[in-house]
Amino acid sequence: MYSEDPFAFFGLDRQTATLAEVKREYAKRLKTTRPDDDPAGFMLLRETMERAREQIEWREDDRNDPYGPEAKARDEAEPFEDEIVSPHPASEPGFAQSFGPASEPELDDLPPEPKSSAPAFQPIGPDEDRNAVSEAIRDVEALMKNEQDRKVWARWLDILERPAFDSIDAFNLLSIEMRNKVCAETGFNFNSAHHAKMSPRMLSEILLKLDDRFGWSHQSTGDWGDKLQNRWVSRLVELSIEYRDIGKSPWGRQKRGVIKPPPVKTKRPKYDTPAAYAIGVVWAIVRAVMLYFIIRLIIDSLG
Amino acid sequence: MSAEDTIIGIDLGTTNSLICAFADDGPKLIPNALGSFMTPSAVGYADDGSLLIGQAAKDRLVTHPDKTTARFKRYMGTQHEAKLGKRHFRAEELSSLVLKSLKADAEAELGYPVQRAIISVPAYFNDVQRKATMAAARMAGLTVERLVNEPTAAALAYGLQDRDSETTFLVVDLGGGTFDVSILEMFSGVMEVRASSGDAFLGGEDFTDALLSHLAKEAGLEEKKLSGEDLSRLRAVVDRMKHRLTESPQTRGSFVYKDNEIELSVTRDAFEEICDPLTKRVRLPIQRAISDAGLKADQIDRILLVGGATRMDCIRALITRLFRRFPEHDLNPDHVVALGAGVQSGLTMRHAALEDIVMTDVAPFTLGYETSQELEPNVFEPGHFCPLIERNTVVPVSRSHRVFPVHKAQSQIELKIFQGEAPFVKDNVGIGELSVPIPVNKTDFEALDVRFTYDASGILEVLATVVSTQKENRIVIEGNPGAMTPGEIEQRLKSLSNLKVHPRDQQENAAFLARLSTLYESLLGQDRMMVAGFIREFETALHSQDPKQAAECRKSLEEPVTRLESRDVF
Repeated sequence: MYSEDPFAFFGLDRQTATLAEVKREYAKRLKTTRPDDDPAGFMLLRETMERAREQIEWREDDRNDPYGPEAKARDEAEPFEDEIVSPHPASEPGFAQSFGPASEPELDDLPPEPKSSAPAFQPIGPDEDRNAVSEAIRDVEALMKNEQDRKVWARWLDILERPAFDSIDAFNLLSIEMRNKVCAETGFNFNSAHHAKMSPRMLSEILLKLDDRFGWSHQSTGDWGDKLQNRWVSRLVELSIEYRDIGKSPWGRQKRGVIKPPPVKTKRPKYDTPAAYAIGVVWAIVRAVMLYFIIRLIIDSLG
Repeated sequence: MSAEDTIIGIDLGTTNSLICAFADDGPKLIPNALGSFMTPSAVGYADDGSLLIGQAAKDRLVTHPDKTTARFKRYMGTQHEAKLGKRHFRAEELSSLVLKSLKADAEAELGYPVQRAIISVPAYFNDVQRKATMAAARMAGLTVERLVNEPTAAALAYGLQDRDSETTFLVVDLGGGTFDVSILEMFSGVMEVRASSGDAFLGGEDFTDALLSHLAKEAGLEEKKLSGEDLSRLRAVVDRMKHRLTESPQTRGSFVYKDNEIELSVTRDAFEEICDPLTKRVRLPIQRAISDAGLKADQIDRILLVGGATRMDCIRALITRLFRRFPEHDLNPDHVVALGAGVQSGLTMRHAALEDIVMTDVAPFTLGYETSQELEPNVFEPGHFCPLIERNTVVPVSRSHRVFPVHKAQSQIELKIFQGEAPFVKDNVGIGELSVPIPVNKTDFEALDVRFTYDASGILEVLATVVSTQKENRIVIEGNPGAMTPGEIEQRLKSLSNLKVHPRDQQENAAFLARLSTLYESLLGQDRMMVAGFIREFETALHSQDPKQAAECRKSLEEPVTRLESRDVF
């Protein structure tokens, strides 16, 4: 079934079908394929609809790609109407900038003029939210340089509880940027979440409070980038705590221990590569030869 | 509509429960024996040893806390047992008693027996809690046609008013004990849930508890040293004060303790401060639902407040701040879930009035199993959660993964099923396990196809097939401390049937008597003597065995009793 063209299923044209059309056709078929009456039929319908939606999204992405073939064709047709495409949603851009805060003397320049240095990232969202988040991230950076204040959660809250972050969109944006910050600070490496290390500039205690506030470690699913970062934060949380009260729940407050050494450990064979095997053989011969000479020497000396 | 076809909708709440039936002109709430739509979810023993359910039990909670219990929905799916007199009850049993009483009310109203029901549950109820709700219905003699998520039900009730529109809803449902957020989209008659989130242990009762601790401390009372009776009386006063705060900026109450009258007072601002930690817990699930649905705040057309606790000012203010606009609450927040359950029952009955409406819901939690991750060659770390059905996938859904043993020549695979969002299984809720024997194969890795099928009620079925032999293993969710086995349900059912339930036609009298006793406890001096007189008068009327005389006496006492009741909170 998977090979079937979702657009053919809905009787639509692959090139021109809009999301609204797909939804309308889906709704029409749903009336006769109700999830309660025909679960199997519904699952197929739903899957087909989701595939159609996905393909429309890809198609639109291609069309909006400033360097794609679609855009090229459009450029040729209407040479001056192409608009500058805004940068992609910020999921990682926080990193680059936070790897190099080695220049401590900059502290003297604080408090920073909001506009004096262009922020290294451009989170999306309405301007006011974006500005508020950029400013907060700059202040967090300054806070992390201050050896006294960075230990005090209240100082962090001063930044995170600004009225600008009351609105849900601004809060979401702040959550993304703060997570970027945490990941950058701890050497985020998406190939291996096992090597997470705590940073002296972000105490475990602070990290736990940040995680409680934004709930990162309890979201293992979602967007690929989010997932990796959330898993990373979970590792940090594991490192940071021995015990945490997970809230008022009769499900039991499970003890969250530091990761124990893996219980399953099998013996590794001594010579697991051809090279090691070859060296082993040569070494055995060398030893045998040496032994032979020693014995000869002893026999000679006795004789 | 014939008797066999009728399906009733039930909102089985933490604090109150309601029933609703779908009629030709839409969902209709059904009143209980006392004429009220809301039956308090409380159960207790009367003095004669029979069981009281509803308002009478709620009032006796104050006078007989050791024989009465409430708020048991919080313990659904756990082993927690409430002790009433000498007998221990599980939350399922207590809920089944409430369901039975609601069923009787529906039968009295409709005039024929009812066997099938739609029951609403918090969207954030996990598998164990859902199964417990099904077990409770079974013990009450009801077949559950399906479980409907509370915020979805609420959106159904609202969506029905304007069924041709294309709207995106956000439903914030803060009930007595649970908190749910759902985002729904309505288009071409399809009501589609986009995302659900919540907190299964946050509700209005927590706000009452917070206020109680604060007031007790202020009055110099030590909460732990109060007797059960005093504590439940104080709680009743505090609860009424909390309700008053939604109307006035300041409220006072009086609490009689060791024959002294203690003045309690709180302002709305102080209440907001006390509840700040609780209010904060409301924000994260909303944020999560919105980001899961991939929406921005201004893409939400309607924000609906559901559940009695959303009447609180601090909640309304928070929602307004989050979205920079005011939420709607046109329908009574206490009734809307039940109305929606009624709509769902109409949908399930395929009622002609709902022909063009279809509703689809999502799985609120991620479902997956435990895996081991290879850290370095041949070193494995167990305890990782591998998601199979991700949260907010439209249900019903069926997905499968192929899994492999850690070693060759392994003789079985331990399949542990979890529900939750954390990357380590120890932080998620275990909902069952299965040990699947696989053929011992020394030369190659065997494989197992694991299939999860999640139905529209949110109940999971797991099927594990050994690829080489095609042998199927179905999971039987047992050994979970929270869930009851079918045998256990039968046994409990048998012992429940031995209990005598207070006759329905005398519920009004029992409730009124309980109300009088509560009032007596909360007053002092002359007022108390007056109530004692009322009680004597009413008992005389009861002893006459004449229902008419009792009813008349109730009627004549109603006015002075109401007046005295409103005296302790002002």
